[in-house]
Amino acid sequence: MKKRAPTEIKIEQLLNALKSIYSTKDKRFLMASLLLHFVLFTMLLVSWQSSEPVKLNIMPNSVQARVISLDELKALRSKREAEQKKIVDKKKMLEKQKLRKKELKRKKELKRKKDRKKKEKAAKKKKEAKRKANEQKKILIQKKEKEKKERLKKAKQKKEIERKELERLEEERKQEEQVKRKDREQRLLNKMLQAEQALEKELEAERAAKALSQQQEQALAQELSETERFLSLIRSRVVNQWHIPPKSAGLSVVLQIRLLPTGELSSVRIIERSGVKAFDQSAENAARGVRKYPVPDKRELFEKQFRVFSMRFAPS
Amino acid sequence: MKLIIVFFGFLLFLQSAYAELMIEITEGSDSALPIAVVPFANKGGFAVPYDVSRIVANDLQRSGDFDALPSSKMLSLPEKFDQVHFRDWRMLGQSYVLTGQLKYSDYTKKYEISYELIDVLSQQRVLGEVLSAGPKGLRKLAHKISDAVYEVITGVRGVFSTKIAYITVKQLTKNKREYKLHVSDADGKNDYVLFKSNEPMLSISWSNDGKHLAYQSFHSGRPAIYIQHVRSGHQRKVTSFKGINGAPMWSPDDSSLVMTLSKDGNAEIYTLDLSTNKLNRLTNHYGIDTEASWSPDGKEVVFTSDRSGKPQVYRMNIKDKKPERLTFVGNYNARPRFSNDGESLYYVHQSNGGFHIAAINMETEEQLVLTSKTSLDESPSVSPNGRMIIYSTLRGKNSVLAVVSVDGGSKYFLPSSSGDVREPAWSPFLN
Repeated sequence: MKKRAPTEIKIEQLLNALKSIYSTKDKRFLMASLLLHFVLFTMLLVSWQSSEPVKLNIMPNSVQARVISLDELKALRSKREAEQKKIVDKKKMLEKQKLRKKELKRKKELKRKKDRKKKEKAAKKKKEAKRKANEQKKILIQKKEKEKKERLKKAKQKKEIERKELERLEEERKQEEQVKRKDREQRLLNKMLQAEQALEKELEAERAAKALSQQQEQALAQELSETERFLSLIRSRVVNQWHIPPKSAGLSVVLQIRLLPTGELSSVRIIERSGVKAFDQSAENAARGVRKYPVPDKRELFEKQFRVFSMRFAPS
Repeated sequence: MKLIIVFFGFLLFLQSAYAELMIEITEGSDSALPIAVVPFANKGGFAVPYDVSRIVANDLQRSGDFDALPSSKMLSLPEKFDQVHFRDWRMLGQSYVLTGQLKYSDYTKKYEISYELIDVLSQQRVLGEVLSAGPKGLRKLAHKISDAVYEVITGVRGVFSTKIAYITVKQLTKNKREYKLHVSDADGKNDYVLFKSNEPMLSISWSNDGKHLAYQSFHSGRPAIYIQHVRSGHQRKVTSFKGINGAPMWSPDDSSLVMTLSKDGNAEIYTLDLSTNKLNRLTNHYGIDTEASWSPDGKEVVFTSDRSGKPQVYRMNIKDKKPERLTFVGNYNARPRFSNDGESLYYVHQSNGGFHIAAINMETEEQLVLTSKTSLDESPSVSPNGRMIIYSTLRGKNSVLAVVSVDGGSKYFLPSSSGDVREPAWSPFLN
């Protein structure tokens, strides 16, 4: 191993020290490194002064020659030739390599160009196909539009025919209606004339019966007051007989009462039930509980109002 | 034109043809329904411990819905339908006649009663049965007949076979009293003592199966709530917390009791789950909350509270626990009890210087005082058919039991055995 000079070692140490100093961020280390730097520099100066002085060894300008044999010469020549050959071979090999590389590069360039052409061709082909498709589509749309126009034209024609037909029918209907209306009006007119005549006749009859009517009204009023009076009497008798069962609020039952002209009960029948047997029974018993119903002596009024009547039992 | 006139003429004709007179009856008689309970014929002349027909007549009379004809006014004493002279009973103004026969079998040692209910006005038999019972069961059998008659005529189930429980107080010495818990028939007869103590007993409540009573008693030295089996008499303590343990009432499904406890410092309403013994506090107010009772559906309780300054009735849903005041008339409204259908609420109401039983319609909020003629009325309890209310009231020097119909129409007092009679509770239907 080669022995290094002390100066070299010191420089290396200095570099190492510097490296270590610059690797840290602490300012204190920077100061220390500067100090160390200074010390080392001083040491370097000291070491330079203590080294030995350089001796000058000047050699004379002369040619040194040596005698060699023929064989040696031959050997040397063959060696030189061999070396030259080797150099030539090497040059050739390098040339060859260079050529090969150049060839490779050329081939590569050729291939790249080929690929580019291929791609361009494909793109062109694609573009062409797209153009053709668009053209096809355009033709199709045009065809459809044409068909649509044709259809619309036909529909319009059909509609027009229908409209004309409807107009014709409407015209016919109107004519028919007009005929009918005229006929109806005529008939109505006739009827009105007849009704007016009849009304005139009725009014005549009414006027004639007016005196009689006044008498009847008086009789009716009397009859109504008689009815009211007997209704009140019957109601009071029934109320006295009705014992409303508990929890009857909201219930209602309707009875049909048949009386004899003497006021005695002929029959009682439930015509609308409440749904509660006890309640219905209580109403029926109330109706039956009246021994004799107060009824008018006038047979006509009895027959008209009190022969058969209804009673609704619904506690308020 | 002529056609139109003819058409209207035809309409008028139709109207007159169908315009049958209709009389509207919206009121009834204020009097009770007349019924003749004919003394049941004793076939054989043997001794009978109870007059069955008299018990039936009294039951029906007490209900307030019937007016039983005294036997002294009867023109005949038919034993069965065939013997009824309808004209006689009609003359007497009777709507129904109840006839019956009573036989005794030495072999079975039982009485056999056959009875028939006859509708005088329609002249039809509307009910008929043959029943039998031993001498001790005759009273029960009589109540059963009353129930059947009441139901077939009114459409409402009778409560004559139910029971009542109540407390009597007797002053033994100056400082000693005797408290007895009684159970009797609904007419106050046939009573027996279920429990007695020298310490107070209060707030009886029947379980809805009719098998148990819950009440508050001080007999252990401090207030506690007890449950007692009616038939066996077996008693068990349910709560005895520090402070008040009172006013128990069974929930509709008998699974829990609502009660008043002051264990947390103030009288509050709690529910106690009887299977888990878990308490659920319902009220939380510095006022006194007490005397709670359940709504029929078990979703609400009503109770007395003085949170507004005076005792008033409040309602609370047991889930949301938000109280709502129900009574606003008067300064004292307490001890609320729901009607069976939940449509009315009965409670003690102070007015004109006295305490009366009042009812409030839950829908219309209309208030009706039912017992204006008695005073110091307490502890209302509703009959299971919702028609009557039993309560205690002051009569002379002692408190007695009285019954009033829910419309306030009829009223009667139950015979008092001795001393004060308090805290009545009407049982549910027992069969």
